Amino acid sequence: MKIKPEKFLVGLFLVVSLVLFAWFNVTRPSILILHSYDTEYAWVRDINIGLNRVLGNKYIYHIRWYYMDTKRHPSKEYKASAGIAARRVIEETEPDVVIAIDDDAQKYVARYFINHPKIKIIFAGVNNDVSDYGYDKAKNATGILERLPLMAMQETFQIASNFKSLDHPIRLAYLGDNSETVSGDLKQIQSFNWSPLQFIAAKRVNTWPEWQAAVEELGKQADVILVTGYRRLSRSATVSTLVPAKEIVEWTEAHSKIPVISGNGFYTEEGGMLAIGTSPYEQGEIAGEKALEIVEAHKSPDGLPIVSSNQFIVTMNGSKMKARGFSLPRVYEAAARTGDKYYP
Amino acid sequence: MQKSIIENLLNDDAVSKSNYQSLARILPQVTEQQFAAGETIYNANARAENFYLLVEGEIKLVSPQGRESNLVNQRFGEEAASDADHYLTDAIAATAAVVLCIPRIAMATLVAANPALKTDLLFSLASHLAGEKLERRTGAVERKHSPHPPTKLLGWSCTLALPLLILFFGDRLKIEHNAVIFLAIFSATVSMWIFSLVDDYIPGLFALLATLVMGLVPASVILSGFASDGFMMALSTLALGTVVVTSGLSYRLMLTLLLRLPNTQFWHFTGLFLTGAAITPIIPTANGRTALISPFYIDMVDSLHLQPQAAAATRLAVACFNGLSLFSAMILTSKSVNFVVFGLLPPQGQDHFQWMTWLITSIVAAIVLLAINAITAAFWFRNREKPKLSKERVAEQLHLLGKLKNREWAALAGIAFMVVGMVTSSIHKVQPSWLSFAMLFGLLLCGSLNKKELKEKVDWTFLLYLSGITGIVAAFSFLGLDKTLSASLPGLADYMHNNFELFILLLFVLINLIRLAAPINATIVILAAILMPLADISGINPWVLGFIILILSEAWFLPYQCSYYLQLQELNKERMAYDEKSFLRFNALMNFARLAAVYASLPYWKMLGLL
Repeated sequence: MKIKPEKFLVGLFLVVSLVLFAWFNVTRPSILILHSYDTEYAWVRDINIGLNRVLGNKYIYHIRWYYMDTKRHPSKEYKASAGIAARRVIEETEPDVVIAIDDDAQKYVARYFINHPKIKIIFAGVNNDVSDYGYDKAKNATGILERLPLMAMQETFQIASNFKSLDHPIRLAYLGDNSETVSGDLKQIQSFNWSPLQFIAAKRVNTWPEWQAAVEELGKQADVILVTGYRRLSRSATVSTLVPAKEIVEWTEAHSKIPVISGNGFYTEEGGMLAIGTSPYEQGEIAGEKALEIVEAHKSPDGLPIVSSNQFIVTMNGSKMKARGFSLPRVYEAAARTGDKYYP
Repeated sequence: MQKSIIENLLNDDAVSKSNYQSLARILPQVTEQQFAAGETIYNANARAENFYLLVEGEIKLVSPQGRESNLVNQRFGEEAASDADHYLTDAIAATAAVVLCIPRIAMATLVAANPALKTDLLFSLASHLAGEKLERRTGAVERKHSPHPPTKLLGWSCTLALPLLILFFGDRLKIEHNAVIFLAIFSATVSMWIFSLVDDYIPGLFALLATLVMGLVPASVILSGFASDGFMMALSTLALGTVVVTSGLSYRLMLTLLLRLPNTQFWHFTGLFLTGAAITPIIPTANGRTALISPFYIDMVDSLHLQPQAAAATRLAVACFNGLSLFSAMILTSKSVNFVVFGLLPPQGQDHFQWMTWLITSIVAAIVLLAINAITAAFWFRNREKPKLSKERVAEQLHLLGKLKNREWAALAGIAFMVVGMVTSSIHKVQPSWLSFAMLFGLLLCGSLNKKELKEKVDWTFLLYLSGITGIVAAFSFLGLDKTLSASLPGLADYMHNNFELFILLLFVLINLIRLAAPINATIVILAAILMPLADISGINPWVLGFIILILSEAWFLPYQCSYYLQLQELNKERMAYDEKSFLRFNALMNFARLAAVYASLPYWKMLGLL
């Protein structure tokens, strides 16, 4: 059969185009960004801002996002199912790099791929120790640990004018839910040398009434309450529906007799007064940079050191600070404004 | 003079039916000519350059054998309006005659704009040759008005009243004002859908238009459907389906199956069932598949000499119908409304539940349905008829089709490209939507799908419908209405979260109640738009819920509930081939089989981490 030259060229053009498309995609590295939580969580949103700052040239690599949504659905059964589903996605797509963010993504997914011959793991937002997930023995994992800026908090408490008139050391208490993240946070808080402050109590609760009682109780014992995780509070012992974060923060601000300060920046966004928090942007940026070093510079994860968070953010609600008479040097307000985290 | 030409054109009972725009276009080319008695106007075998309308005088036509006949109609030279190059007779002026002369090229324009004119002129020519007026009988097409006018009145009343009520009482909902306005628009849209007041795609366009004009959400949100993966995949699938059907590949597939399968009743049923199942992924409408397969069912009943209304013929009808409809929910590209559910999945769901994953995840439901269908049909329609299929006739039919044509090869290449592309997606990481886009590009580039077919055969109204729905749901989410709805339906959300098995049963009942009034697509769209965001919030995988809505919404008990069954029923009304009562009872059973298939899938979905 004789093929007309024009038809041959059309066919050739089509085949060459398809082969080039396929070659480009086959050689393009792929990155799976695996979040433990959901897109509506401010922490996730800000980590994504950090990631997007670094992973700008999206055409060079194929990026896929996956959200396990375990913050809104904290039951063990749900987490186990979300883990299976996420692992299936990884097994089916075999990405070159998995950026696993926050502890649930490590516990239920990423650790199953330790020393996988093809997949590299970058973790971020990890509150626990790397050994908790076996990363200390992994050759294909590196990342950034999420560490509370406890030294910055310590300095803040000491510098706040409200506490200067106290005739005793500043008494600090911690309140949190029973989440994995809080377990990691609490380890850090309890092992930190707070001196000259006095860390007097840590309370973890499951339900909203327990939280309310704890706020009242700690208000009698301490001078300041530190909070981090509070998204896993059931409405009551019998109703498992989670209490919205905004409701918790607004109630706490309104009813606590002593200042409540958070280690997470989004606390003020949800109605809180002040937060000195780990920078989510840094978590995203470092994770993104490490991913690029692997996919572009072809470095091995075991040659990239595991780092701890270094930056922190200040978020502040001006009117709530004023209402409580809580004052800090003006540089704090300037820092919050610079980061667009000052709420008048 | 011009006026008289127009009058004379409009005097002709065939030409006058043409639309006036096309008549106006050809008017400058129409001339009046006069012929003396005995003058020849044209000869037989001369090039058919003009068509004539007789204004005055008499004309006689003379055949090459010398037979003379007078004009039966006041026109002649109809060959110029056909594909025939030459006149069949001489035309001679019997008396002094005045005629209007319309050139062949003008007639081509007129016929293109008025397709019925060609047939009218064919009858006119045949009448001249026969020497008597042959009347064209047009069958009185019984138009079905669905729904009945009173229902329409009620529907339009609801469409007017519901938005007003929502606007009036909207403050009580404690949501933003723009969300209240959007809800009002949505209520009018849903009302138009439920009462089938206009074509499916028009209410969606209304919602887009109203939302855009009022600036309720950014244009990028409400128009997001036009830029979605689903849009491109739907367009490409529709295009591939067009090539498969118009190339004759699907018909060849049917014949080949019949020729190859053993000549027993079981294999005849299986063959017809498999044919329907095989074209399910590539023809994305159940109505399209019914139109393609149901004539073949009638052919088979005839050629197998099956006893009308008996068990074997009815079982064959069931095989035909279930083959083309049973797996609709399991195959993403089998039904337009599946793309709507796909479009409602969150981005990671759309990434994951592409064609192959969709099928694999629904495979248990497919197997259960298939097994129930096969086993029950075998008992329900057991019989001792011994049908005989003339394989020779099938072979002759295949022989007549000849070798595979280029367009059939192109359709096969398109299918193969998609299958290989999807199976190897973990290697090349190209999403199936873009694979299908590449396949569409290939079909267009190679001319296998031409511009006319792309314009006329691809269902663009469905693409508007799909984009409308996707935009509405995006706006729903943007305005936070999904969360508001979730909060206002705590009972439903609780059942979904705490007792999913019971929720499925309630959903089955609810769907069947809605389906008494609403068509399949409207039921699916409304339930999916409301419940899928709720599923996300309740910790249920939205795909699971979307799939359940799809599979359960296909349940129907009465013929009017299923438009593609009506097509089969129409054929049966003429031929009385199968026993409809028995068919409907079996179908009712299969509705419960759908529910069983969903329950049987639950452990599998749990194993996959979807529940």
